[in-house]
Amino acid sequence: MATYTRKNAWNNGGDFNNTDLLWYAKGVQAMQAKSLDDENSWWFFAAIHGEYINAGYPDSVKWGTIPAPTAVPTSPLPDSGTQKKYWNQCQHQSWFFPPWHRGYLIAIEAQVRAEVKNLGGPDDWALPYWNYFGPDDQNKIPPAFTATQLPDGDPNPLFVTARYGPNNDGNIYVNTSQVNQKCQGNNIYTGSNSDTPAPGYGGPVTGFHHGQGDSGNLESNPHNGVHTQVGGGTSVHGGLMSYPGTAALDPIFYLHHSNIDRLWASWNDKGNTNPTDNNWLKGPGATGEQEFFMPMPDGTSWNFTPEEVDDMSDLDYQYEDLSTVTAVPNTLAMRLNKLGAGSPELFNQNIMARGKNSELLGANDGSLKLGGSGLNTKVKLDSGLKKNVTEKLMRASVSDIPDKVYLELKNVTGQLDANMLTVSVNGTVAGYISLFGLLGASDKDGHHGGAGLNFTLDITDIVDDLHLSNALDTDALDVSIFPSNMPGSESITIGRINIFREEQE
Amino acid sequence: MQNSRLVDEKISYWMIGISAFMWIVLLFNPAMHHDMTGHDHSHMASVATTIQHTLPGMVWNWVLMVLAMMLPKLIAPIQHIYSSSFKKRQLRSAFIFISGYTAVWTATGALMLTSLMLMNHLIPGSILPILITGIVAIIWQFSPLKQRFLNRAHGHRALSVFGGAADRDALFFGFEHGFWCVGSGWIIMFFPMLLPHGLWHYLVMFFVAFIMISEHMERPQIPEWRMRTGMKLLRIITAQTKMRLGEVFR
Repeated sequence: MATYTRKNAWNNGGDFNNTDLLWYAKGVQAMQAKSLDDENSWWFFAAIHGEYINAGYPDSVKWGTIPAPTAVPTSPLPDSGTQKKYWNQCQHQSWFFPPWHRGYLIAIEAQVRAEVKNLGGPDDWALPYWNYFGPDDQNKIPPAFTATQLPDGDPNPLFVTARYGPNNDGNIYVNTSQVNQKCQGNNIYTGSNSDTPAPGYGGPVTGFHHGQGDSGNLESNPHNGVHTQVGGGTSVHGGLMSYPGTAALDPIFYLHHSNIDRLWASWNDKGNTNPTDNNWLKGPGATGEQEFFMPMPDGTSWNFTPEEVDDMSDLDYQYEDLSTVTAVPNTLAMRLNKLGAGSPELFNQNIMARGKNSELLGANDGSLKLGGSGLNTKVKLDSGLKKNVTEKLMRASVSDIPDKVYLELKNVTGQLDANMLTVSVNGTVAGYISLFGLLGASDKDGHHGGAGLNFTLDITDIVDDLHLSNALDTDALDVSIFPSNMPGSESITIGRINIFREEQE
Repeated sequence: MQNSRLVDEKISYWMIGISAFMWIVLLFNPAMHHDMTGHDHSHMASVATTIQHTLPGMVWNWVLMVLAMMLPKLIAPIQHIYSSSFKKRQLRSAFIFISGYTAVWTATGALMLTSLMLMNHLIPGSILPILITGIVAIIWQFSPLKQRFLNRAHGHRALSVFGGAADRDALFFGFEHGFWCVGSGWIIMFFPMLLPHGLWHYLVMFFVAFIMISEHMERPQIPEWRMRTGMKLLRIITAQTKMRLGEVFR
């Protein structure tokens, strides 16, 4: 039995009758009373994830222009050495996404718990999780985050103005028709197979040369989608949750990440394993990058690696409930059956094909501007390669598995992170893409050098359907993209739309 | 989509392998011993004649030197080219990219070597050029402008994939990357040219290459005056050695 149990925020109605939430609010209040340069303050911890104080970001998201509450300080700044050591550490588009955020949660939880204990609260207090995939209305933000006052009449520190929701109307919920937990059906952390689209559940290998990696499947959806839908916002007022540099100012951030961490724990609990590669286990220090550091309440600095946080029970933590998706379909058997190459016996076998080599199959002609009305474009296919794909579909069998096909949006740049793109191929929705992180990735002096973000969607099912309806005999696929939130003159740029095939073995 | 790990590793090994070969060629190329410093020609009467006779050879050696020092820096952009090109065009596009990149350095080299020869002609044997270049190199090394050039080299552009447009984009990508690379490293590359030929010349060249590769492997940073030591490669080598020794003795 672990000492600390993270429980569902919706327990006892999700309001302040849930004492986990009441103590969280009091802990946050105490941390917010501390100054920006105090390593134990709320503001310092938000900056550990990311901050828009120093860099030249738009007024809509700068810390100094965020509407109260929360009144966000921009001074006094800690010395540059402290900033360099702790701030802007968040790991995205990387296989370090799950372990870094786990360590981050443990550190802030320790800070909040120290405050809770000082205030006479329970010494085993743990961060609740917001399971937006739960039954009934649990996709809505727990009411404790929308109340303006605490039960004692104090202002509620869990309430923030700059939280606008998926429709920018202040109604905060997660649209679970777009944001889902399909990634829980994946079974490899890095790479791809029949049940796991590239680049894998936890993210792509982060090597010596970092850059524009793709987000892992857990990070893409649900993680990014929840950020975008909860934060919302416009080019005038950005929702805090919509941007990596403001997200951790909103107290709901940590409950969202508690749920993301719960999904990872649940995924491991089902027998899926984390990487055993030393370059993952030992963290970014193994590839010459900055190591992970967190300030702890006793004044020490916790330097941790992924191998030290890859098992929650070793950390003396557990979740009240690890249930997520219950049934994982036999994806390959279903696919072969659909293509007329299956048999009932296949469903009783544990068949699996691993993604081998990927190869560019086609692309559109040039960069595209995406405005409020969306865009339609043709993605031309190389005729020889398309013929190979078609022939493999025609002779599909257990011993000759057809390629998987992916659609990629490459070098996506812009300023409005608060967007969900609906991407369709030949009229069928291929998926939803959150632009969380777009602004930072488009900054020429940011970590991506202005190259933007890349996104990949598995469109194998759509291509199979086109083949079966004899509609794949074409030299191009029609791709349409519609943004959820592109007001006025705003636009984003899509550098290229590519289509890849991936061999299966 | 990202390349498979195998493809990325192959690109790394090829770039490092060709670079190592170029180093060997440089070390055993007797022409290099005289031409790169230009000292042997300083006695000539006319600087124009000197330049006319010796510049092509010096530029050729310069190209060898650029390839030896810079190819490992091109691993990331070539990985980008591979992930953005049809398989049948990958090698071709990579070659075009390297050609464009080398052309920018070659033009820069011609300018640098001409000025070097002029200096040798006007103030033969003076250590003034070394001193001035050293001071400018140190100032440039810590400047925000250098950081800006380093940052821009991370912004890998979207590439066309069909026909002549793919060739054109690969070439422009090479020009562009070469420009950012020259911008960040021009003065530090010039410095070894001023040293007399010998062991120190090669050691400084190697050290400069080490720093430049390291700098390009670092993440982009906010452009500001800062100590920039260029030691990422050393950090990688240290960490990887420690890890492997740890495995052996576990």
